[in-house]
Amino acid sequence: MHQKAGKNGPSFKEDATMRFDDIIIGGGLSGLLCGISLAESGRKCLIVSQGQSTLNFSSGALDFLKTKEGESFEEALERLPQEHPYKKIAPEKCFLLRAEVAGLLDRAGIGTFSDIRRNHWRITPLGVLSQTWLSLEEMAHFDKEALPEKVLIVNISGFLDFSPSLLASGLAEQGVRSEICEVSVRETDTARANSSEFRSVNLARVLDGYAASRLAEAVNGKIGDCDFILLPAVFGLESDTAAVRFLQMLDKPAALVPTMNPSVPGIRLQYLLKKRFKELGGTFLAGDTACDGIVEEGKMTALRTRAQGNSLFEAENFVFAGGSFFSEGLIAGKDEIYEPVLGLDVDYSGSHGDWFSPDVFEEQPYMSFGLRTDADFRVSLKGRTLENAYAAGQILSGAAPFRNGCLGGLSAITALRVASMIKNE
Amino acid sequence: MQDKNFQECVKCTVCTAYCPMAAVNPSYIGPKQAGPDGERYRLKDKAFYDYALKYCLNCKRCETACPSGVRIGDIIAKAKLESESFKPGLREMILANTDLMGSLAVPFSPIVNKALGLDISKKAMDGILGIDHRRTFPSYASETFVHWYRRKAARTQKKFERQIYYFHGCYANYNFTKLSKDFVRLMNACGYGVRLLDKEKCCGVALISNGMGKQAARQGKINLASIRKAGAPVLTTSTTCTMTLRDEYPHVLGLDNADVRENIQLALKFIYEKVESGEIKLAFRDDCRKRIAYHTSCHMERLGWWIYATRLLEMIPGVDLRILESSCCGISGTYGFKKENYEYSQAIGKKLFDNIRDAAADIVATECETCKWQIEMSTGFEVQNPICILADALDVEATRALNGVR
Repeated sequence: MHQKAGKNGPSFKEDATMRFDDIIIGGGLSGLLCGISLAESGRKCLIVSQGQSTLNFSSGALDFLKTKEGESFEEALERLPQEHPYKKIAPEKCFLLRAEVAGLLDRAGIGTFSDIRRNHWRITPLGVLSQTWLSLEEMAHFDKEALPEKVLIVNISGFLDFSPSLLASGLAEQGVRSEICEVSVRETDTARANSSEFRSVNLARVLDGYAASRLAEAVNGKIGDCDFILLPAVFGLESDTAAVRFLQMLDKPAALVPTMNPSVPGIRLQYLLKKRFKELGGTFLAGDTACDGIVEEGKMTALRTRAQGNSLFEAENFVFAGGSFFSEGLIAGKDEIYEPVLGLDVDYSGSHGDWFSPDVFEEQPYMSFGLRTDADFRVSLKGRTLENAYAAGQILSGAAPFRNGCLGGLSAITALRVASMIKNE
Repeated sequence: MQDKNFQECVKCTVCTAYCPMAAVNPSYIGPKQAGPDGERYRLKDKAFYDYALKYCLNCKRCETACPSGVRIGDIIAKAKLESESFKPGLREMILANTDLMGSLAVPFSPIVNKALGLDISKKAMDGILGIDHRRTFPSYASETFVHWYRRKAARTQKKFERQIYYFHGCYANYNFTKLSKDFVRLMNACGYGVRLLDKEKCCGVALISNGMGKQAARQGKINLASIRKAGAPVLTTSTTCTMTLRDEYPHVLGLDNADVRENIQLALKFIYEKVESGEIKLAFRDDCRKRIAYHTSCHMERLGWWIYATRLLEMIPGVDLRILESSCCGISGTYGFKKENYEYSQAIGKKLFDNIRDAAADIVATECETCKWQIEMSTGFEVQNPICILADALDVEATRALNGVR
């Protein structure tokens, strides 16, 4: 029996419980996708979410894996170091999971663009072309061979979380010329009342319907000889209709570029996934923190959360999808890195000074730290695998998502893999 | 001791993205700046961001959104209490002293209710006090719950083997006594005697939000002393009272309640848990054919206990429960009564009102009394506390028999 559980041992017997089929700790991309996949097959799931997830900082794209020129995903997977989570999934299964992610997002009302076999290019806010596998439909995505010649970069007057000049200089390095302009309508000027908190979400709240159509008119007046238009992603918090409609009103092909956080496309992605999960009968408990649990004979049987006090949540399966350090799925203490709910086995090495490199552009060891899992993504406690507890997403060890270019994709793929393990597929 | 919680903030701005006030009022700087950001400056000078504090609804949605566990709403509430420029006027005294106003009004309730409903008094309150004339005040009962309890119920409570205490709060005592009476009926049928605390004062939530921290703390101490003396579960039917007693006492008023915090529980949570463990058995009539739209109030969302309310409602045969997307109704207690807040209040609530209309339910269920006023006024839908819905659907005789009540 786990020591924490042992400490509170006898009193636990008198605790009240609420039962679910599966409990997922973490309400971000991996938690939600895993929950939806389980709920779609009729399972009763609970997601416990401490706060908003890193989807609020999303680029609006999921990167599956960086590939070299002409390389297929399968070849790139082959090259990955043995500790990478993808290595636990057979390449043909991984292929199917990519298709499954796109299908699941589609059923949640999220329009996407992806090619199951290869990467395409997205544009970062710095104008750098970056490989990605799946983009939200309205986000800028290109074939490298078919870049526009001259781009009109549009910003909303007073909006500081988007830098057209950085974008322009980045594009210039790719040989793409650009022109910069600012537009505004009455509604965006009103939202500007508070200049220091004039954020993407404030714009998204007003840029719909009539305001959006007048904004489109203003943009159309500035197109000149440009053959493509780029704008900040400030359209549509709860559906992509506002973004799609706006882009359709423009006289030239157009797409959106991520802004500084909060990310409107990310918030929408989360909103729609949460909505889908609840429509399928899932219980999403926001603002509660998983803090303890019971483990008996190699199985996790119950979870305790901060808000519920003496009430426990029981389930057949548990999924640890609480993200990495920012989301507190992992905690870096002074001398140890630990998982805060059960104290699960974590892969990390060295002491505090060895965890990071002072040069931020160098490889950062802490980015590979995470939960130790077996070939089926089951976690372990003091060296013993828990037969019904899994991990998915950023909390997994060995991912190094920035180096490997698998941010977002890793969460999606491993979440659906764990769901399929639970469903026994 | 200096509370360092604000330093957990990593400036991600997620709280501001989910703030209902910032969404409708572009001149509000939002919870991040008014809360943890401002707190850093306020260490030097209390006047920083003073002007912004009044906009906060105290809905705590920023805290539910925060990925870093910052108690943003508490930080703002505390700053408001310490602010020099935020001093209560006559209007604040009247709105916040729910206990006093209730005690004065109940003996004359027919006259008071009539007077409060007259256009002329609404106009006068609007003009003189700044209480918006479009608001409807909840009517006062002809007899307080406590009076009724002493007269009708007290004697029979002792015969029950199991006992709980009831923190009724102001609304269930002075205004809507059906709720408190239903609660007694429900608990009695389940085999529990209901006792009142030695001394119960208003939890103080309105005092806190209207700048009367000292009075709130005085009342808080009396409540905590009574709760300690009770030494048994103290159940509540109001979410806001519950959150105040459990969380605002230590975080905003600096009252240590660690020894009794777990004892203070929403009745719905207590009942659900006892049903699960088999200590309470519920039998319902089968004539309740209703579609119920459940509204998760802000403070219920923060407590994280709506799961108990909805699971209990789902136990009633014939109930078709629709859980609405949790969003703020905009009234936030006394906030929406103030003239300068009325428009914001209604703008914030619009999404919820639309969702309620779309759900096409027979009734709306929520535990929060002020949400009830706001939703009834703004949508015309009837709103009931889940306790009343459960009590109304209960087969009292069968439940008594199941729980061995003679």
